[in-house]
Amino acid sequence: MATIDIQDVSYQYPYADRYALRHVTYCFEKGRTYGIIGQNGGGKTTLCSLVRGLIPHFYNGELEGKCLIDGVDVRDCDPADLAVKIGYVFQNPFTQISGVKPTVYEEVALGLENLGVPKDQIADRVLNVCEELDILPLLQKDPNELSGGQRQRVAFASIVVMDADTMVIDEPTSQLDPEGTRKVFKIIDMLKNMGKTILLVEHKIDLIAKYSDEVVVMEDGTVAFGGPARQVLSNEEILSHGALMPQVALFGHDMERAGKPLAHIPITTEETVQMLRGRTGEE
Amino acid sequence: MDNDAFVRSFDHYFSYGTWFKDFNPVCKMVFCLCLGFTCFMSYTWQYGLAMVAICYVLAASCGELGEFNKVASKLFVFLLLFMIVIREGSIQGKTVIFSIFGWKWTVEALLNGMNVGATFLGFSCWIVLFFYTTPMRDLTFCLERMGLGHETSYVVLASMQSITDLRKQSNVIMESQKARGIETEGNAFARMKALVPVLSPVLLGAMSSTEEKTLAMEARAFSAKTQHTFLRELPPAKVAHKALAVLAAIYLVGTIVLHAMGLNPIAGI
Repeated sequence: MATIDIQDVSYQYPYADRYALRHVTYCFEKGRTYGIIGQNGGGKTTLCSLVRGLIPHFYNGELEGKCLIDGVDVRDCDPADLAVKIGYVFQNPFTQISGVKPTVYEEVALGLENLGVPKDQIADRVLNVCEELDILPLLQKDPNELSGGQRQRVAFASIVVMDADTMVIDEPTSQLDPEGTRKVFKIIDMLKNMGKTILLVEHKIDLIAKYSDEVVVMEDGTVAFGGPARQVLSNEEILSHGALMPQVALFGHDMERAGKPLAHIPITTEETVQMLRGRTGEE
Repeated sequence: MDNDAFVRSFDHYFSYGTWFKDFNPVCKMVFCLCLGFTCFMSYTWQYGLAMVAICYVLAASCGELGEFNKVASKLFVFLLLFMIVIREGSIQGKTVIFSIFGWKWTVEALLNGMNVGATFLGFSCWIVLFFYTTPMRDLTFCLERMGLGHETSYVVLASMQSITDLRKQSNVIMESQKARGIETEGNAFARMKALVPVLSPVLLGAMSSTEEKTLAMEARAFSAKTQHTFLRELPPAKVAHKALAVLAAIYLVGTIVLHAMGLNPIAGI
């Protein structure tokens, strides 16, 4: 059974003159990682807001169709229950810190305090998550004085500690440097290995190719393409729909056009290296 | 402190180690407000300055003398000295102390200025003392225990932090406007003019980040209806704390009643 089942959903923000989502139908299966790509204004963040229940509970507007979260229509879901089921990490690390807690430890524990988790359990869960996300050295620091990359990791920890089965992650590295990006994707890999369902909106296509099981291309509020990562990211057609292809996939197509096709169009650097090694007989 | 010791510190009630800082925040608020308001019942410079002296002693007892003095000394200049100058300019007295270019400084105006200034100074010092010895999170914790909504508590605390964030943001916007050629330095008029292209981005940015922060808090189950856990707890108010607050309130009410009856014992001290 799909964790999240979107059935012919259309949505228009209040006072908007166009639909942000138009007849979107897609199933997000439990335990898989979905990369959501596309141009700005394509509906990626709106899709995430829908899945998380911010539409319709926070944003009003016109919502048509159904979005079922574990079989329950999102309209009938309690927003507080959704916070437990679906974690959401936003792109701006500076607005994800509550601003009311003087230490990272208390900041990460905030969600558990809100849920009424007993104090002894809070300590264990926070310490475990901080250790996994490598932020133990920051435990006693003031979250307001952290760098953007550190704040983003603390924001991740604050959501991961709530142990939601599904994580919606919206452009988490847009304001980070390469080192910060690397650390965030290490966290995403960890969540993937924990069996979480992940919806990841990103523009860094090479990383999407590496970590996603499936890719959804959003264009003008509709799903232009959706399917296994390899199938979508190796298809040159996605370029005309405002999406990027991994560099190695473009390389693979160039090799085809040059009359020297590879075994298949690669989408990650690792498989490209493997193929080229095989071709040059290095193995 | 190592992380284990830090985490274990949350297992016990939190303590600052000084009696005035450990004074229950709500009881302390009542105590300080009541004693501050008695300055208005007295309206004399002796009583006002006596209150200031008590505040200094209390600040010193909990290690906040330096920070308290920074604010209190500014208040002293602004409230007391400024009020004396204003009164000397507006009240015609009989007994002249000295004259500056025909401006006669009289004893009557001086005393009037001192009475008004010291009254407000005394009241203000109690308020300053309260805020310098009571973190807002402690006060909101106690108020939440008494039934204040979790949302209200968050709004109060987040507002304090947002002042710092807005100041940083306005500096960044000022720099970016400067890079666009807007003159931000110079005389007062130039600086006033520079405020206009800074204020609107700051306000718009504040509104936008408020929405994002709301969503981020929603992601942390902020609106969950379950009973909240308090990771950091203060001890319940001691009998002595409640007694001090009640005594201060009785004292204030007593001075008000006696003042109304024309029998104010602290007037004219």
